Parts: sequence; structure tokens; C-alpha cells
Amino acid sequence: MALRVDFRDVTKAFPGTPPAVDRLSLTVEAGTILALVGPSGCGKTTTLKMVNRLIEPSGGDIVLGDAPVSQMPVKDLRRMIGYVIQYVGLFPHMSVAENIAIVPRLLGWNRARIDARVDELLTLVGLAPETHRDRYPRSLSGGQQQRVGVARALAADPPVLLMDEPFGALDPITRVRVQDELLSIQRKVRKTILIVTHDMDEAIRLGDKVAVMRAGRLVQHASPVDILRHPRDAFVAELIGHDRLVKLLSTLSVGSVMSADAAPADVPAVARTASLEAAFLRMLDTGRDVLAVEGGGSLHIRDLLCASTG
Amino acid sequence: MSFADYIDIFGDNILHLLEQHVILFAIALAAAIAIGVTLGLLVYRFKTLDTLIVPVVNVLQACPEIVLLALAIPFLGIGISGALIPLFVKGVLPILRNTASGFASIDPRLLEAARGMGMSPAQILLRVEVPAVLPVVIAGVRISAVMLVSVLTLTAYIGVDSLGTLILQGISRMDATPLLIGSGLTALLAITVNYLLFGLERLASRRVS
Amino acid sequence: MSLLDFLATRWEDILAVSWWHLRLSLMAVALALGIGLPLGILSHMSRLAAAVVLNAVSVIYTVPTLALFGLMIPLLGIGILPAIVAVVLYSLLPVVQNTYTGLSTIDPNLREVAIGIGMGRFTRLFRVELPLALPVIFAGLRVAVVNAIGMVTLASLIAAGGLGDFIFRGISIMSWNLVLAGSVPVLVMALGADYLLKLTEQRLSRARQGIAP
Repeated sequence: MALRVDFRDVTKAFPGTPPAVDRLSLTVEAGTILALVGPSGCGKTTTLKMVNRLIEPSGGDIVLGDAPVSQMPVKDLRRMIGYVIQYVGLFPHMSVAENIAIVPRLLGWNRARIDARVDELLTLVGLAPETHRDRYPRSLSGGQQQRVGVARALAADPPVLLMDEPFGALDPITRVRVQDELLSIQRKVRKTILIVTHDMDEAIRLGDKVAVMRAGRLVQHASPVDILRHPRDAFVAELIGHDRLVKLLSTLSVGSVMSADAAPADVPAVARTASLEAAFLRMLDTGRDVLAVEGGGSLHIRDLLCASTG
Repeated sequence: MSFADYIDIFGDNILHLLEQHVILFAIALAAAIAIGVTLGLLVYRFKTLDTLIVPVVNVLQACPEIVLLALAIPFLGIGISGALIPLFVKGVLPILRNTASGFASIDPRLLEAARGMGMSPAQILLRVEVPAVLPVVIAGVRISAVMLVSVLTLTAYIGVDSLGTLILQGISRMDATPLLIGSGLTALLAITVNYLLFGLERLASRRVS
Repeated sequence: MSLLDFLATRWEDILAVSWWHLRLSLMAVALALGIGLPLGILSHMSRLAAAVVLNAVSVIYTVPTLALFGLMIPLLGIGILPAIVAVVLYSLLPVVQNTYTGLSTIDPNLREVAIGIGMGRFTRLFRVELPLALPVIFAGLRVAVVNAIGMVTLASLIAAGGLGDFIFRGISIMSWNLVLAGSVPVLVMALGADYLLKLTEQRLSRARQGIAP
């Protein structure tokens, strides 16, 4: 189950400063990931925390499904929203299983149901239940802790998941791996996920949609490909960086621009799901301007040239 | 006897006891600072001393002052040295501990930076380390000083006059007046000392940050 | 009389008085815990309470212990009650201060997560904050127990008994045997309590950090 999250003209103003979030309106469709991205102080974390009412908006409303969050009892609201933060926030005095069981226990589930759920979630996030259930957070690596954090957030099967810089404390290699794992978990659970990051690459990798914020305002809200193709202004382009087109190529798949024409014989083959970047490197590598796509069709270097405009 | 009468008659005596108390306090504290800082520095510089000193410190820490005083009688007798030495030993502990931990908690990068700028060991000590640990050391001195003011009242039991003499008189004669005067003056002295050293501590830490 | 002869004739007496001394100390600390723990929690929850309570207990703590016993006389007379009240008052500081410090030095991220996943004020206190603060609170308890054992020695001055009886009588009649009969058990109890409680404290703190004890 997932719920749509609707921001309607949401404003947060702290006295004596410009608004932290200024009339933000956007919709996160049920079962999709929205990446909120921007420099520190842009209002992305404030936006996130207004969803579970750790911060109360000063104007506008946020609607989960049909229910405005302002109308819901705050504890009930928080128990139906999973929450993951950068420092994971696993309780050091509780075992992995106890950490995951917190919200189900708050909701009064019985013992057997909780135990089954804990094992199910550990398996989902790729940790063997028998060996991890009774360990303490201190004895886990950063990546493992983060997976337990995700498992805990999913424990009561919340329709919405909030993640605040969830992978910020991980080293780059672990980070990419945990990002991939999150995507594969999401394919199974289909939650509505709001994820805050200052890293545009992460936003592009994870988001079905990306919302770029600056000084409390929404600058651009679009799919990763659209953002890469048409950054709205110099600020967004700057966030993406000078290798915008390389990122675009690595985001698009061969299948999205290939033609149905049959490829000449004896050209190298490439998978339909491979990235255009991989295909392009293959062309450079083999010195050919056309590749055969596995399962029929071809990819010509001309197709790559139109990719940047769509 | 009323308060006013008591002060009228024994005023000089009270002043004498207060003076005595302050003098004992000053001697004990000065000695505690000198020994505490030196030992603290030694423990910090020569880590092996740690294993030697820590058990002694722990035992002394847990030993009640009155027991320390009582046990010292056969060695130091009854009188000034029997009263002062055991108490000053207690006073050394917080200063020693804070000095050692203060030095140990200096950011090693700071020292490396100082060495990198070509400062000599003496310069590093005076210009970098001492200012950094001063607030912590003063905090230790403050704890020590407040404790000393308080435990010095116990010297009355082994024949050395202090404000404790008034308290003792009050207890043995069940007379609230000397009791209140003795207790009140000691408490006031402790609070004043605490306040003054707290100010010093803040002054020192402001210079650092 | 030699020390051994002295012990041979008086050992039952010494044991009984030591036991009484220990009971008096533990009773006072138990009371201080019962009063101090809620006060520490209150201070953590309300800034106003913190200002009032923390200042009050630290002012009490600066009053010399001897004076504190003395001051009990005009208020409560002499005997066990004023002695216990004095020790309780003095033991409040380590209990209250450490409860407050333990609760307020918890990683703010953990507090935010607890709020974020919908724990109420009291669930949070009992499930997260108090368990995490336990080693610090326990450290305060250790200080309180060791202090109390030492302080009860002075309770003898207001006729509450305890090992101080031996020590003070010993000092006044210059009997080294009596001084030892009082001092050594106090020292042994203080050191023993310090050691045992420190051991427990270290176990607790390891368990709180998720390291197998």
C-alpha cells in the first residue's frame, strides 16, 4: 500500500528570517520516489519534516491520500510514516530485532507477528535473520546499519517513507550499493518515498521525480532525464555539474532511443537495458558507429546525438 | 543566649577561628595545587606512572576524610600537620585528575600544527598547551577548594582550631547559635570560593575559545 | 591491650556496628534515589525545574557535611531521623545531577528518531532515554553510596550510631585500637562498594552500547 503525498501551498516561516519553505506545491504520486535536492539551507529537510510534523507548517497543508496531516493525531501519523535519517539512529541499547520491532510494538502487534515481520524485513534488506537478529548496532558495518534502518522504517508497512540524507555517512562505494538495494527493495514494496539529499547524482539515481529547491522555493520538479536535458536555469545546471551530458547518457537506456532497423551483420551487440554511456564506450572501444541491440534493433551514433534533446 | 549576645561576647573568637580557617585553607590549597599540577603533568608525560598512581588515587578517593584524619594520627600526631597533611592529600586528587585529563584531551592536530610552525617544546607548553588546559585545571582547583573549605571543619576533632570548633561546640552543648554561626560561615566561605573560581574558570575558557 | 586481644573481645560488637553503619548508608541512598531520580527527570523535562532543582542541590552540596549534621539539630533534634535526612540531602546532588546529565547528553539524533517514529513523551523516556542514561545515573549512584558510607561516620556526632562511635571515642581517649576498629571497616566498605559498583557500571555501559558484557 502506498499513498499520494500532496503539498498544497506549503510555507514555513521562522520569525525574523526569510521563509525556510515558500509556497511549495507539488504532488508525489503513490508508489514513486521523490528526491528533494538542493544546497544546505534550501528548505529540503524542513519540507520533509513537515510531512511527519516534526515541524509544523505555518501555511498551506500536506495531504496524505485524502487526509490532511494537520487533521491527524500526530502519533498515529508518525506511526504510519517510516523515517530514516543520516546517522541511522539505531538505538544502541536494543538489538537489531528490537530496533525493527519498535513501531509494531507501539502499534500493539502480538509477539509472533512481530517476530515473523522482523525476519521478513531482514531478508528483504539482504541480511540473514538468523545471524543478524540478535546482534547490536555497534557490531554492524555502516552499510548494514543503514539497511537495518530501512528495515525499521518499513516495519509496520507504512504507506510513506521519509529519508533524510540516508546515505550521507557512507563511503562512496557502499553508498552506491545501498542505493541499488533501496531501488530493488522499492520494486518489491512500492512505497511513496521522499528522500532528501544534497547530492544531485543520488537524486538522479534514486528519484522517479527530482525536486530541486533553492532558498525555500521549488526551482524545478521533473523526471531525472528531463532535468538533465533541460535544466531550468544556471543554478540547476551548476548542481548537475559540467558532465551533464555524460550523466544523461548513463541515465538513459539503449531501449529508449534505439531504432527498430536491423543492424548490419558483424557489429558488436549491446543489451537493451544497458545505459547509453556503456553503448557509447562500446562504440569508442570497437571503432564502430552502430551497434546491434540484443533481441533485435540497432543503435546508431545518430541516435545518441538526439538523446540530449529527447 | 541570643545571637547578638553571642556575637558580642565571642565576636573576637569567631573572627580568630575564621582567620585560622582561611589560613589553613590557603596553605592546603596552595600545596594541593603545586603537587596536583606537578603530578598531573608527570602522569600525562610518563604514561607508565598512570598504573602506579591510579590505584592509590582510587583508594584515597573512596576514603572518607574523617577516616583519613583518624588513621594519620599515629603517624602525624595531633596538631597542625596531622590535620593539614591528610586533607591536603584529598585536595590533590581533583587537581591531579583534571590536569592529566586536560592535557590528554588536547587535540593532537593542534600540537602537530604548533610543531609544524616551528615552536619549541617550551613554547608549545606555554603558548598552546597551558592555555588549552587552564579551564580544566581551574575546574579541578575549584572542586578541590570547595571540598577543602568543607573538610577543614573536621580538624576541630584533632585539636586544630577552625570554624569546625564552633560547630563542635554547638553539637556538644546542643546550642544552635555557635552551630549556625560556624555552619553558616563555612557554607558562605565555600559558596564564595566556588563562585570566585567559577568566574576565573569562565575567564580562562573565554580566552581559549 | 594488643590489637588482636582487642579484636578477640570486641569483634561481634564491631560487626554489628558495621552492619548498622552500612544499613544507615544504604537506607539514605535508597531514599535519595527515590527523591533524586524523579527530580532529575523533571529537570530534564522542564527548563524552569532544572534551574531551580540543580541550583538547590548544588548549594546543599557546598554546605560542609559536618555543618549539615549540625544544622539538623535545631530542626529535627538528634538521632537516626536527622542523620538520615542529612545524608539524603547530601546524596541528592550526584543522583539528580547524573540523571539530568545522562538524560540530556543523549544523541539528539536518537531523540529525533524516537519522536519521528511516533513515540510519546513517556514511551520515549522509559524505552529510550532512561535505558541510555542508565550508566551515567549508575555512576551517580556509586558516588552517592561511597559518599554516604563516609558521611554516616559523622552521624555518630548526633547520636545515630555507626562506626563513627568507635572513631570519635578512640580519638578522645587516644585509643588506637578503637580508631582502627572504626576506620578499617569504613574504609573496607567504601572501597568495596566503590569497586563493586564500578564493575557493575562498566558492565552496564558496555551493554548499553551493544557490546556483549
